[in-house]
Amino acid sequence: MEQQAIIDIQRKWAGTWVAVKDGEVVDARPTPDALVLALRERDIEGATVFRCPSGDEPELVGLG
Amino acid sequence: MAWSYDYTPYDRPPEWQWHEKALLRPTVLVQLEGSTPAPETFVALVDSGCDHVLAPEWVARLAGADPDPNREVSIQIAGAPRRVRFGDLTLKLCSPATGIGDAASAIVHEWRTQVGFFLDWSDPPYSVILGQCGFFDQFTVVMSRLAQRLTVEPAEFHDEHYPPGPAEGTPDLRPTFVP
Repeated sequence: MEQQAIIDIQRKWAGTWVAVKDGEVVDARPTPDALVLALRERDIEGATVFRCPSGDEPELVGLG
Repeated sequence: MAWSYDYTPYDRPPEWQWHEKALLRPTVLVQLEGSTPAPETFVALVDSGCDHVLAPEWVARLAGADPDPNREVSIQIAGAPRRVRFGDLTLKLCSPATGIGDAASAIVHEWRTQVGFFLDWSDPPYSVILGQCGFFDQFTVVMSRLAQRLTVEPAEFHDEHYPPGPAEGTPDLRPTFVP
């Protein structure tokens, strides 16, 4: 995935945890628990999971 | 054999508009396996300032990990003390050719290590933190902000290219600075 595509996902899904598979966001939820539950319910495996920071949160340094 | 990973870009908040440099994080893609392989791949932060491999408890559930109540400690992280319980897992490092969202991940290396799982912090900003014990003791990790990449070299790379350090568990007999 191109770096600009990663940025685009972060902007569109800011403040959520996302699951990306085959270049597409297949689900996004406010919490990782909700995301994983949704993935299991929809029988989606093999996605990459990460968090998109919200636009108004302070920049993270290390783990804050 | 070495593997080079591009840093992951992040948007800076608007108040950082004056800052000319991009916000970049050293990350790699990893998979975890306890009693079962976690179905997901995780974007892991490579954090030289952390002494452990850490993850939230939901990752333990996905990987079928069984954190050991006899290995439970408090660590200060993100401004608060957190209870962490360690369990043994297999970590799998994805190839640099594996991108975010690639369903078929090529694994270039896997190893057993103990991972600390947060008991009271469900959503830290990263699913996996790769620290000194469990990641940096497996490889020599080279980070370059200029190249905007991190490179994972074999463990012996350091002593082949720089003055060797003490082996793990042996006293450091090198001279110390005396003002």
